[in-house]
Amino acid sequence: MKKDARKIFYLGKGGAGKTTIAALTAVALSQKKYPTALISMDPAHNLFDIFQIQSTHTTVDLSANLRLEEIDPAYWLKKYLKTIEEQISRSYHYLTSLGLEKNLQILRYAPGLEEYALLYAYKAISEKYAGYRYLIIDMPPTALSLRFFALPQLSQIWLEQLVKMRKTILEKAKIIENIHQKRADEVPDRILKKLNSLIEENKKIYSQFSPEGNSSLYIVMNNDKLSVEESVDIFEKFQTSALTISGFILNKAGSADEWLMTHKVFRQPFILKLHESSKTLIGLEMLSEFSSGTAFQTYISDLMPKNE
Amino acid sequence: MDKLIVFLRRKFQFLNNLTRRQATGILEWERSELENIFSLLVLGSFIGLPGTPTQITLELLPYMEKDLIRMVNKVQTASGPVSELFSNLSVG
Repeated sequence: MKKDARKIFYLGKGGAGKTTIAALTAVALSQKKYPTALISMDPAHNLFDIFQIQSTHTTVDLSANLRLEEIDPAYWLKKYLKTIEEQISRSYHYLTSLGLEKNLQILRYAPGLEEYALLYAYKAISEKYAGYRYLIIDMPPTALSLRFFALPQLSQIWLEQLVKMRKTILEKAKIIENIHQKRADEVPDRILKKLNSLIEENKKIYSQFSPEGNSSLYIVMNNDKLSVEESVDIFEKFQTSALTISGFILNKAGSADEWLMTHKVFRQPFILKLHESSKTLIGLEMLSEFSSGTAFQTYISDLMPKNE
Repeated sequence: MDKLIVFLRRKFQFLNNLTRRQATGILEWERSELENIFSLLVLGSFIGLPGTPTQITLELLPYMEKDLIRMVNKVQTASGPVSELFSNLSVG
């Protein structure tokens, strides 16, 4: 059976080095001949800048095994609203003449739709790159990332409650029909059917974020107070959800990092500790050179399948 | 004799329907209230109530035409909840 791509998410404070670590990981894995896709989910992305690429496209093939893609949330939101518009047009025929598209586009500014656009994009991306071995995902800054990961769980609570309520309504309708000796309507309830399909879809996405779903979530942080505090915050927020952080990556570690041990979350060793590069890590050549260092190669070999 | 049987049958049918209607009155009202709450939960964000995450509302919206009509109709009786309750309980 074909296995889905292994997904590696990098989270952390803005400027901690998520994009650089993601780029280094993708370069190193692709050089080991693993088909790798490097995806930037950050609305203010700078993925192409790191590779010094100037392109009007959102996707660039950097080598036979490395593809870069920058996600444009506005595009995915528009695409999502288009599908909703089509469904509404089919159900509410009399609305089609009112310029539904124009009126629905305002919904792109509705609270909560920014993270949904990302989730919608993620669904499409994970299907598109299912044949790849690695999907390296550079996440947006903390607030949006947390909302992105929390959304399926939050939606699940709502969906389950709505299903429960819908079932009670349908049960009561059935009792009434039985008392009136009317023949029960065998047509399945469209709303309940839709709710159930949303629950299934939601569970599928949520399971993809766990280690069982072949995913790892890493927090990239720097050796400074603000970055550390934010990383601890992210870790603690995840502890209240069903998802787990696989580890911390200390970027620009410096020499004095003992103070980090005051936080009990850092008592486990860092997955990766990188010291600041003497050269600016821009361009494929520089990234390739830096990722061939011992520390990074050890990290990469831990990401690689053990039986190969 | 036949006429009597037909008469009695009709009478029985009438009483049967009447008792069944009485038996389901409250149940129907309860179901209708649940449907209203369901609609309010899903579509309430459109009228300023904190509600379901927007994407769930949008996904369900194409299937909720009847619910929207029911909500609009409900507005007409919303100003007289006590009279509606009394009517359902057959008081007065």
